[in-house]
Amino acid sequence: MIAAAMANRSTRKMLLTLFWCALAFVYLFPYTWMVLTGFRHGVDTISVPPRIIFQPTLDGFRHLFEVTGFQKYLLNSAVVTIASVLLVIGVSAPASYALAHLSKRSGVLLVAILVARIIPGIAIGVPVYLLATRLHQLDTYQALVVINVAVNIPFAMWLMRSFFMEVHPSLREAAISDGCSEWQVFTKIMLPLVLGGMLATSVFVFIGVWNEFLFALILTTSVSPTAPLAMLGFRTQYGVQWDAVGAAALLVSTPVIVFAFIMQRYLVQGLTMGSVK
Amino acid sequence: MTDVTIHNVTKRYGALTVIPQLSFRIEDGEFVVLVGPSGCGKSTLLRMLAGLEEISGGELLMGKEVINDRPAKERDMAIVFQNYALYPHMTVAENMGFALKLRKRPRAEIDERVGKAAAILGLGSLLDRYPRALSGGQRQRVAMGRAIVRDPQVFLFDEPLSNLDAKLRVQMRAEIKALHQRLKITTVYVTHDQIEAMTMADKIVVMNDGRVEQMGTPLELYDRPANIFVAGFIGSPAMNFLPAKVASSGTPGMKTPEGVDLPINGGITLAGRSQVTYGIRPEHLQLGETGIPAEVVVVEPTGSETQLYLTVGGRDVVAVLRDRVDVRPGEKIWLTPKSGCTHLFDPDTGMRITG
Repeated sequence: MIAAAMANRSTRKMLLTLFWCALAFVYLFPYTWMVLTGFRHGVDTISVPPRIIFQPTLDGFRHLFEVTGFQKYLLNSAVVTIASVLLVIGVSAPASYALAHLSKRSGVLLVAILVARIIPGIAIGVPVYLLATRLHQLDTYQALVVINVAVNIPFAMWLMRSFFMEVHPSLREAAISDGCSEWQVFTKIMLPLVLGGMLATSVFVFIGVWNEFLFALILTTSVSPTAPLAMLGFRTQYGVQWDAVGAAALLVSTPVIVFAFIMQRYLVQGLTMGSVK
Repeated sequence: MTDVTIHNVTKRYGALTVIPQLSFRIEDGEFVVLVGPSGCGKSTLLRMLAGLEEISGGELLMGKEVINDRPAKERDMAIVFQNYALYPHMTVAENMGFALKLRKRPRAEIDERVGKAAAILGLGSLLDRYPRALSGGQRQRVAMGRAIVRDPQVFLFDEPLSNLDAKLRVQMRAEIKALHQRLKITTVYVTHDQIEAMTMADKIVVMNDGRVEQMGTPLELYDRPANIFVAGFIGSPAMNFLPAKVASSGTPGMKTPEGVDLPINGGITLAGRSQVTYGIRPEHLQLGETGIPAEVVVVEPTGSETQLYLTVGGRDVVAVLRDRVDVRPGEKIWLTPKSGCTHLFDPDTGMRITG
């Protein structure tokens, strides 16, 4: 009886391990393939059957930096992303606090804010382009930052509002009774308590802005295109430069992975906050 | 320290009036307990005092000064919340010194005042801990410490013992009372627990539906409740109430509708009344040879006393006897009310009938 139960348990464990391995393979295969592409010659990538063993090369990376000046696009992405994340968090943190703790009737406003997020980007592509043209802001950092901030604020406010709502209202009241102004309640009491949620939100916004493609395509030409847009240039009339695409994809994805890894603890906290009382 | 006057204070939420024109005065250094059932407006009143809730009408005065529009931080009142509301990211010392830090007091003064308050409350060894590392009782003390450090004119307590277990509640009750006796700061304490009210208050304000039902010292409320609500609310177990018909002959005798004789105190004029509500506290009933006939339903000995659940003419009655008694369920006994301890109320208005 005991031996049968143990055999049953080990079979279940083995099946579970196999399942997790299969799941890991499904998730990691595209990324691994992308990384390998960056270190392979183009011919190795498109050979049939695919070559697992190959002569590694840095040609893709060399092409990126020496021929296309990819560092400029990375810098554009970094400037737009950092500015956007700072502005989104800077605006939505106090706004979310106000919605969570100060406004008694914030429902309509919250839905109105969400509309900006619900509308597909492509639907406002033409007006945004026309607006940027009229204001002489086409192909500038500020145009990209403004549109990214506008698109991400609703999401950040909804997310951060839920973090602020986790803080019991009596903490605000205690702080006010202690002598805090509303701004001091926000900075001295609320912010330290929702720091994890704020960092988690900033990771999500960072990922969203860093990977943003549509508005970069609409609003930029030569001065401020971002890295995801620049990758489009590797598909030419002579074919796809697979080694450069792989190398660029690796460079573009690395900051997101590093940032998300550093913030992992807060990310999990942000995703699970509110689920357990 | 200061006195506080609540003059025709009203609180409305839209069309709903939760406190209609409430008036009473809290003397300088007095410990006033606001007690009443959930939703009676006691916490709302406390929050209006603290400046956390707007006042819809009337006047709130500290001393002679109207403070209706004075912001909470300028009221010089310290509030202790039911859930303690300690700042989780600050240590005990930082929690206690936070108000002084906001007022930009020198570091040395903050340390000294926090140290003094910690010594009073026995928190000296916990100053570097965070709230999450404290027990319920310790958190409660820190919340009080945070209030003490400010040296406010008024202490406000909003059901501060509700989250503690029964044993700790009794201990903290005594500590808060001792603290008040030591500091003599005007205190307003909200609770729905009448035992807390009775044991701690200099003056109890019994509230119901936003109104003051009665105000007075604990023993005044216990001995001479103004109406059926106060009579039933103050005292545990609650007072027994029996409907009674007044004897037509003009004598003070009366009977329940089932014909059970109810002895009453002499000296009460019942002229013109045919119906009354007869009230007697459980602890004022004694076993006797004659009196009110009752049947025992349940016997609950607690060691120090015995609670008897009885029926009198088919109506439930509770008696609490100091002596150990040998009675069994189903047994017929006689109850004698202690002299001078019966209460009569008007069944229509609920008000006390006085001689």
